[in-house]
Amino acid sequence: MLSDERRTGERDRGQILISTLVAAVVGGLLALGASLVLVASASNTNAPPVNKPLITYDQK
Amino acid sequence: MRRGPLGAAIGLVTGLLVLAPVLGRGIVLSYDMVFVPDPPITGSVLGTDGSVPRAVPTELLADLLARVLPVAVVQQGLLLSVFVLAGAGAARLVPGLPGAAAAALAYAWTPYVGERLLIGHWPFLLGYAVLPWVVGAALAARRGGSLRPLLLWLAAAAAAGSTSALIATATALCVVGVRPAARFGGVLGFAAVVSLPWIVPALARPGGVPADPAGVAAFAARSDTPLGLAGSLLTLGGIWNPATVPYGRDSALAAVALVAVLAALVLGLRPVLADTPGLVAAGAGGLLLAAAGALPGLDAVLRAVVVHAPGGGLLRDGQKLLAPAALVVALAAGHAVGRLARTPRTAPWAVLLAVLPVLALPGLAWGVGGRLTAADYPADWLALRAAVAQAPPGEVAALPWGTYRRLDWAGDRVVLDPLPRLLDRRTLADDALPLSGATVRGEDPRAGRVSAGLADGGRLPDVLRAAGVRYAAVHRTQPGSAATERALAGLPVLFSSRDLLLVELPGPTASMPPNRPRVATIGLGGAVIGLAAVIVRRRPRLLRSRTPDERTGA
Repeated sequence: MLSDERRTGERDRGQILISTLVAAVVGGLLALGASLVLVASASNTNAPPVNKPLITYDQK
Repeated sequence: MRRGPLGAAIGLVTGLLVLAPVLGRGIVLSYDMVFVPDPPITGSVLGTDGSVPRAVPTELLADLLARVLPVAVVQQGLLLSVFVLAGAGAARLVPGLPGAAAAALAYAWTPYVGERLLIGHWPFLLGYAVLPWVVGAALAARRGGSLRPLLLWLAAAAAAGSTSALIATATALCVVGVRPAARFGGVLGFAAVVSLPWIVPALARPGGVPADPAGVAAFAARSDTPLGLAGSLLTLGGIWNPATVPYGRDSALAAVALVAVLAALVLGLRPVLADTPGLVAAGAGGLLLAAAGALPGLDAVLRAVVVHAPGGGLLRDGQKLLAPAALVVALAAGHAVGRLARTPRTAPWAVLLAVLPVLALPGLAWGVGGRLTAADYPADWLALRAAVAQAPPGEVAALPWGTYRRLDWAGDRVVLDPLPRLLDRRTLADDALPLSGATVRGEDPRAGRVSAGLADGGRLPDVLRAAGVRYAAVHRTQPGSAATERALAGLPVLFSSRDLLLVELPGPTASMPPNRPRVATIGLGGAVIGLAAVIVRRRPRLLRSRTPDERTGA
């Protein structure tokens, strides 16, 4: 069975690493953007109640 | 670059993405996560006041750190360290940089982390972050290496509280295996010694630690996705509290999460099983226990264990036991990505699989979708603390009588009443857990008597005095505040502001239970001595596992 080093050269590994990191950053930014959209859409439904009823552990 | 630093860097980036809105903005208050400025070292954090020792020793260590650093820095440093430690620890367990990077991301970016962060279970999260280090050290010990690193990581897990210690110890024992028995016994014994800070107060507590059977159903894992309970747990979510589920979990993104987990398991579980079968067993066991509270038949067994077995209450909120399963999935994802990254033809799939955890859970970013907020305590809270400190000795009651608050200066989100942590004085507070459909009884018998007295129509000052309380501190902007203030009208006011009121209850009060410093001496002292023995001894026999050659006498 071939080891990682024989199957994948230094150059390949570098490219894979860079592409993985770039993808992680892009993924993070996508997550950030989507999160902000979700927050904006959810903010109306999560407004605290005006008259503050009994506070329970499972309230937002 | 080495795998550990790469994983730490990925953990740091994920931590910054999650915590960015709160970093440098003050103290994060969210459900059970309560930090206070200049925290006093009270009997609660030492385990000497007879309360259930949930805060021991984690909050004690955090409070000691807050003696030298601002508490917001301590809190945010601890939260950020969860991501860094988790990423670095997971990365070290997978060969090759691409696989290590994927494992780090898959372990640090999970619904488990988001849900436990929102509900404020930061000690669990520290235990979660330490778990891959425990597994790595256990694996090294099983292969004949020194036991010392494993024992030190178990001590770190114990410092993260009872649940973390339980998960780490059980996982470590699964990984090292039962043979040789001396090693198994040594690991178990040491884990017990470093857990003495919470074991001793729990054992010394009059009446033990009573658990309401209703808590098993109330805190059972539940579906937080369209995939049902099994799919929710398999995708590493399923917390009991629907209010602490990250945005997007109830959408089609859950299917993306399921694809990510299944792809990781199909492509990468085999090497994990070959390397660490004990970890896979621990993960499967944790998954079963997490589901037990919601499965007919098993729920009755779990209820019996929670109610009758010493320490059984630790299994009540079962979803937290998913931590080993999360590590199995992360390592499988790492191996899968490493395998796909070997050839340029499949490398794009490796990249996709590596980032799927993030794409499946965008709601974890930016303060778990903007739901983590940070704030500074208003000046009148600190003034109230000063007023209590100057008052003659006596216990304080936190009112209105209820466990949770909404603080308008902290985003109006649900948070455990901070007063018992803030005041350098013994503080009696309601510890029942009110839920939408029921209330789970608390564990403090004195608080229970106050609840019963008030439910029977007793006058608030009389009920509190009978419980040994001398002062009443009232949040004036909470549900029930107006009625509470009416009940205390005319009593001597020691402090008053827009938000807070402190009055003294007239007349003699019943005596309150004494502090028991011996409990802290035995518990903390025992743990420190045990830890010191491991650190100081040069080559203790116990700390060295026998190699296979030694075992066979070759």
